[in-house]
Amino acid sequence: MATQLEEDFTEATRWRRRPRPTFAWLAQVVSGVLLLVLLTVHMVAQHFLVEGGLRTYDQVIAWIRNPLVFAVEALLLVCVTWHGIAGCTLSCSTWACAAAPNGSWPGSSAT
Amino acid sequence: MIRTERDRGRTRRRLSRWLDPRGRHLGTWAFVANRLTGLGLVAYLYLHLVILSTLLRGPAAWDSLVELFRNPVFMAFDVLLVAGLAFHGFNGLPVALVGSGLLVDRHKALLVAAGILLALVSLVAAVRIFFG
Amino acid sequence: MSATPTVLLRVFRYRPGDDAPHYDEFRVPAGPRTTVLDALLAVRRGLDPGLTLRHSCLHGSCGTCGMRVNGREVLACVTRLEGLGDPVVVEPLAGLPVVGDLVVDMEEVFQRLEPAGRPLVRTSERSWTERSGPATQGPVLERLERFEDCLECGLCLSACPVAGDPRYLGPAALAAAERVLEEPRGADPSKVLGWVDDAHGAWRCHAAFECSAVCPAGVDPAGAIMRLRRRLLRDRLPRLIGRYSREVPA
Repeated sequence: MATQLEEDFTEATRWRRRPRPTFAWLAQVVSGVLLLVLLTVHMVAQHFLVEGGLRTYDQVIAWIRNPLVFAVEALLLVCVTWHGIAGCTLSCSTWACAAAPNGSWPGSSAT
Repeated sequence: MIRTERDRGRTRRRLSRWLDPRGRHLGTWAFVANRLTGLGLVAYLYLHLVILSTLLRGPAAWDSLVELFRNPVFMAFDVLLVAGLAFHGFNGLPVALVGSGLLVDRHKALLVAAGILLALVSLVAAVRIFFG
Repeated sequence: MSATPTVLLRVFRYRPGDDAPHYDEFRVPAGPRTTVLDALLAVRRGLDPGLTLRHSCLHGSCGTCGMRVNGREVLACVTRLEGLGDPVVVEPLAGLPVVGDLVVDMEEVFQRLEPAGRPLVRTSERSWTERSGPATQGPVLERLERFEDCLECGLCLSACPVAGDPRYLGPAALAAAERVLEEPRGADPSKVLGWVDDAHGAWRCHAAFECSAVCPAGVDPAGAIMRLRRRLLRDRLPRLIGRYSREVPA
């Protein structure tokens, strides 16, 4: 029996009609993998290289003044914010606590 | 919540079902734990940012907060945090691989491997945090 | 003379118009080969003729008697009471409207399957004699038609932790779509691919694999969904890169 799809789901119309869930999935995967690396670096640098495991005020300021460190921490913040919000949106929509509109952005696809 | 006549009697498929242990398998438990750790980590993220804002109040406020965090209760929470991070991260690898159609037949093995890595990392973190 | 062993059944009861469902308990004889369906039919015959349930083939090939036993989705006709403990809790499939007691309205399951065309026959496994020659023992099968594995029983949809969202196509429909891509049988694969490439299609799955664990027919819907995703990534990723690096006509 042939498929009985009523709407035209061909490539051309789908691309125009709603955000690409493939991209949302890839973004979640890429941000997740980046987070694994960045968080490991963050945890080791912040808590396992310092005597006592916690930096004092002066140590924190000296550390964050390094432009490379600042860039890495900023990238970490961007990744964790994206990954977290996408995940929360998906969890809440799964729980039907807050119905996500069809094709909402971000969080359109599964993690 | 019963909304319409059609919904009456429909057995609920809400959060309570996620926590129902009857008849479910490793994959579902990993999924539920991934969701719960994810939400916990998002909550921790905002708490962490609020704590970091103490830096704006100067060295005295920050250093006294650091002293507070050397309390064993907070150190125990830190171990829990590392465990939660490790679980979400290592479980995320099978989700990323299998969810992209790779190593689908090895799903259970990947979950077990993630669990082993979780145990190792949590142990190292606990030793380092309490005795380091 | 030893007493016949018995089992206590806690059965979900609901009639349209009731304020809320409740559970009734029945103690029924249970031998080593007694199935859940046997026990429920014994309840109907001897204890409560008003108990509503549905069954057909009695050997696990039609999918009609799907229900939850101790929280796990099973076919009642092939699930033995032995080893299930006491009491045994029997409930209808989750997330579907209850028509009465253990009978659910399967319309939502079939509606999700409809766009895939619900193919029945595997054309790649059609003729026994063509592939492997005549049988050396017993009757010769001139022609063998292999049906698709899916029984359309709905166990996968009930077990799925995210199928509470009615927009989600669900494991059965996605597995059917994957079969159409494997064997188009006159269907347009690009249409099916476009249908499942949706936030509530293949990308909604959370890889819990509960559907594959409960499937009584070996369909492995979770594996099918992941194969769909791999196909979508392979198909979409080059176009995604192309779209943002140069003008791609719609």
